[in-house]
Amino acid sequence: MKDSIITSKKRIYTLLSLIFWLLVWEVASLLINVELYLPSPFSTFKALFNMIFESNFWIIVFTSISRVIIGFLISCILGISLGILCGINNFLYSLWQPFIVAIKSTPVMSFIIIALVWFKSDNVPIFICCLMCLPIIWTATITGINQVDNRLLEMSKLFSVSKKNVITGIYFHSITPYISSAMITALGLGWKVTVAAEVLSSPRNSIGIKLLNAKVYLESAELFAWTIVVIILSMIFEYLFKYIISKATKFKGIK
Amino acid sequence: MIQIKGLNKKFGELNIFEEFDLNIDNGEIICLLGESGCGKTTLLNILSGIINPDGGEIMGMSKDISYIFQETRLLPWYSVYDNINFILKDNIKNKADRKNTIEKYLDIVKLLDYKNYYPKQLSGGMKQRVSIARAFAYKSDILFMDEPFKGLDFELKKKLINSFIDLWNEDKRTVLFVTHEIDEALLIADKIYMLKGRPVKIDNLVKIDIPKKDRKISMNKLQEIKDNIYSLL
Repeated sequence: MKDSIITSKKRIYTLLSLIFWLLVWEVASLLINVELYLPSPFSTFKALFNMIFESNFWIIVFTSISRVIIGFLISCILGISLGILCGINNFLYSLWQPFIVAIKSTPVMSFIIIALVWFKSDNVPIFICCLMCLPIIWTATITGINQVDNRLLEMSKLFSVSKKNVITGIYFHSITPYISSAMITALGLGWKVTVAAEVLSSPRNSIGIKLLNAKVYLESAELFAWTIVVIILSMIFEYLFKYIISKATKFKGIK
Repeated sequence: MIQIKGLNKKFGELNIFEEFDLNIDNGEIICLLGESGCGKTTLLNILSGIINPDGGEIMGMSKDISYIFQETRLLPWYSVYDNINFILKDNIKNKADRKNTIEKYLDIVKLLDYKNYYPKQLSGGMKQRVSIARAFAYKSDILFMDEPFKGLDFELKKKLINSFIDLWNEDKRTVLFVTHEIDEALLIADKIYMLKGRPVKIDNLVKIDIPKKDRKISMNKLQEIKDNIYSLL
């Protein structure tokens, strides 16, 4: 009962804050009064409404979604498996650590430009999404492994449990909380860098190219509308992912 | 028989064992009784291979060991059943055999009805019973017990000791049991080695020939042994 009151209160606050910022946006656009600089919420949502009914809108949206998902999944598979190996082997950690630090500190634009030389434009956003998410997943996996309870490892060693079963039975479960929160962060970043890479690589059917076209043809309302699409998609993904994670990792000790 | 000859172990300047000797007969429950910090757990750690000795010989030591720890060391994300399954997977490949083994030992410690529970849902005593069942379910030649009843109230301790004795009567394996509680030693051990000093030496040996099932701490004979141990301390 108390929880449901708190939840409905939270929802009201979220709605009120949304209305507040829409009003701020409306007032700012009225003050500036140049649609090119800051389109009004009305013209932005009108553009968004028109876009939704365009024949290729959903194709564009789903193509961009598929790029994010593929890039994100590859980074998760690589990040977790590499992270586990580096977490339990000091030599591998020393070998991979400079590479990961280099990825972390290199500007994303440099990678996009390099990737444009290496890959077809369709694959550049996937590669960039994967590359940018990788250090987050890798670092979280290593942190999780370092937090593994040594007493459990000692127990499994005394009972001669095989390395494979130690990895699946102890390491995997210990790192899950770290990896799941890193995945949520990586997913948000994945959306940003994928769209950025789409802007520069201009693959067919992409949100990025729509943003670029809107900028080129000075259609600010459309530019804002596509940005809203990205924000909404990113939020939906985060919500869905959190839901899946909470279902998958729900602590089984509570019936 | 396990023979420890001339064992040496130092931690920095702290000389724990110097030319330490001990013989352990097969199928016996040996209790090492001594004050906290005297080196009892260090001896278990050396014998189980967790730490290396500085010198000496250990003969007849099997690689197949099981362990009951002071803290239960159960995996919190696994049920009671899966906790035991985790350590048996590599030894008993057949799933049905594994299931029979797990259920047999859980039944002896009276936890079969709780096999799908998670450690978080169990009391401290129940968790320790799971860890005792786990140690027996694992086929080993020697069982190490490092103060597994520490910090538990007397009633609970009695229940756990009874569970342990039931299991041991089913499968009489060599047990090396470390404690500083005389009552625990009196209820379980065949032989009590009293450890003292630094470097630690065997100060005395007390043998108990009363069947474990019949032992009660209020028994005159156990009280006599207890008084004897106190006089030797």
